Amino acid sequence: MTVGEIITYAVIFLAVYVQVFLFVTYLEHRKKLPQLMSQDVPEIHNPPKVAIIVPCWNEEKTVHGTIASILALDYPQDRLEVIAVDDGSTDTTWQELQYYKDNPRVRIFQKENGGKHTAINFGIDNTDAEIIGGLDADSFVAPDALKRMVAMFQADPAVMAVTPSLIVHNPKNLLQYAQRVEYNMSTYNKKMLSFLGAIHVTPGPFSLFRKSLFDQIGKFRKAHNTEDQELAYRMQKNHMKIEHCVNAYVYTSSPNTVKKLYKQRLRWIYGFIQNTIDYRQLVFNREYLNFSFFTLPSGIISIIAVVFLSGTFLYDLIVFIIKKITQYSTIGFTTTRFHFNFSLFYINTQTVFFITIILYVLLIFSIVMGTRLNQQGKGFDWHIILYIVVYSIIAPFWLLKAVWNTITGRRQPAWR
Amino acid sequence: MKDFKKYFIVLLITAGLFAVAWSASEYFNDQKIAEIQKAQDQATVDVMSSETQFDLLEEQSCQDIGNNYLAQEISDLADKISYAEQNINDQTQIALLKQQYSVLEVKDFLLNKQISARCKTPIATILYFYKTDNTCADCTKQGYVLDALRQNYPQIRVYSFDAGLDSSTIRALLTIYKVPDNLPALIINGKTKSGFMSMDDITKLLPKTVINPVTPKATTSTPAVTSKKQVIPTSQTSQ
Repeated sequence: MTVGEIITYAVIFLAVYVQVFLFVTYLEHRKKLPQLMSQDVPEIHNPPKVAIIVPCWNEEKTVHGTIASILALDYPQDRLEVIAVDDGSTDTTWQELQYYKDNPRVRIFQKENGGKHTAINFGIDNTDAEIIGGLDADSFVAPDALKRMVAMFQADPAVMAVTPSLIVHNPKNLLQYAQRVEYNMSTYNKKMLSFLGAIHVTPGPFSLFRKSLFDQIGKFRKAHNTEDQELAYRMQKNHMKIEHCVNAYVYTSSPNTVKKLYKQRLRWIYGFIQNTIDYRQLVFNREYLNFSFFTLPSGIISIIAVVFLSGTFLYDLIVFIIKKITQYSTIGFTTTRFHFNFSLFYINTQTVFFITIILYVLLIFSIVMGTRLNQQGKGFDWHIILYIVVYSIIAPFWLLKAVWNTITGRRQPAWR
Repeated sequence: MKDFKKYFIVLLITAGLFAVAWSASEYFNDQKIAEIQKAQDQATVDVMSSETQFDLLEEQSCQDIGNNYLAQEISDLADKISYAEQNINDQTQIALLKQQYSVLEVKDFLLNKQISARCKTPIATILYFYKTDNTCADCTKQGYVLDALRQNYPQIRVYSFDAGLDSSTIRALLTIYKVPDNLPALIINGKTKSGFMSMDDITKLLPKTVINPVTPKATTSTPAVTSKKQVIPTSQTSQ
């Protein structure tokens, strides 16, 4: 066995380990899922005051929809306020926000541009609400989501943050359908991580936090354009509980071109690498259990796996091209007789082939379960194949670029 | 410690899955080796049948003698052995199959020579000696040329021999044809040529009647049966 084969097997072993770990977690907690998926909207007694901050930077076209979706939430009106913060927009966002100046449920602010996290921090400083969340202009919330999430805060005083399930809103092209599959899988993964107490990101769209959290560990910090991830790392470091409300749905727009998706994912992956480096003391630290022994290592493994497998693929491609060049330089472009001679004999039966099948079965299981959790269908549909094919082709590019940027110390572009 | 119990259990499950995958791979690879062995046995029987038929039909017309189908049979066998060599770990078994295959090739080669001599029909046979290690830089290129040659001229019989294989048959061939150490080497209709040869170089040394055969006006009326399923087609070159 060559060194390359040993590394390949090691990488695949770890990838299978991660999927098996999630699967075993599912088996441990599967009986809880029907209850967590209940359609009944919980009754909230003594509803806490909730503030949803809408950071706006040149959102003249979407800000009304975002605010309208918050105002339409099923929650006592006097206990919910919207804080719209214009972060130095250069378009007519501020003029659009004037529409709400007399609305007692909406407070509008304007500040100099400083980035999304400064706009949210501004909102945090200007509210006395017990529960605070944010909502990007490209996302919409299901009306019952807030009640479900607040119920989780009330059920367990130790819960300091609750994340929703994200669903791709109204996919139109194949890329967006592929992303919808990915988001569904993320819901499954997020729920399993929440069972493990090991969530590593509180997504910008509608994650909710106790106000006391910010008093204890501070507000959002500038963190490689992935401030929502840094906050989750900081919470884990301070042993604060993050829950995932599986049936609180937030619909978010997804990039509709490969270029936009590439930029978004480059930012996410680069942010993950940088935040993990910043919080490297949490990796394999017994004090943090699953977060340090599973969440962070599995993220690192996935990056190493993609880098290694992409490198192997590239090497094989180069060897193939050299072989073809040698072939053509030797015999030229001769027309050879085509004969299709299919035989089962030539089907790959190497160990790595069967392991890859096992890996894909586990992966597809997580997608199917995630699809069910997101109530986007009941089983397998062909978009899963689409997702696997599309992401196998394009994901290595942003992963490799993120690693390259980390190695070369290149900074990421702003979040928008 | 309780918290890490799950990590250990998952480790065992993952190792178990790998064991299942490995077992499945071993099982199917054994099946493949058995399939090659079976095909090889069948080819051996077919070669022997042709030899026997050749002896029996000594007094018959040369049109009734043929073993062209063996070329395809042996070629398929070569493809499978080549695939197995690259994809199956049990190289001891593969080496044994290659040795048996080499013997089979030699028997087919000798039979062809005999048919050609008796029936006075021109044939085109090439014995190709190569090595899979780094000592033969041009073997890859020579392989491409011979593959293309076989595809363009199916009537040419190319017999490949791994000179690095521990086989008394191959050693005998190397001695008989005085094959030099610098491979690749080709024996084209009995003439030993060392070093890389292009397609043009090779075809110049082959009989024109083989390279550009004249289409026969009529086929033979009675095909000779050699085994339960195999029907020997008449030789394209025997007129």
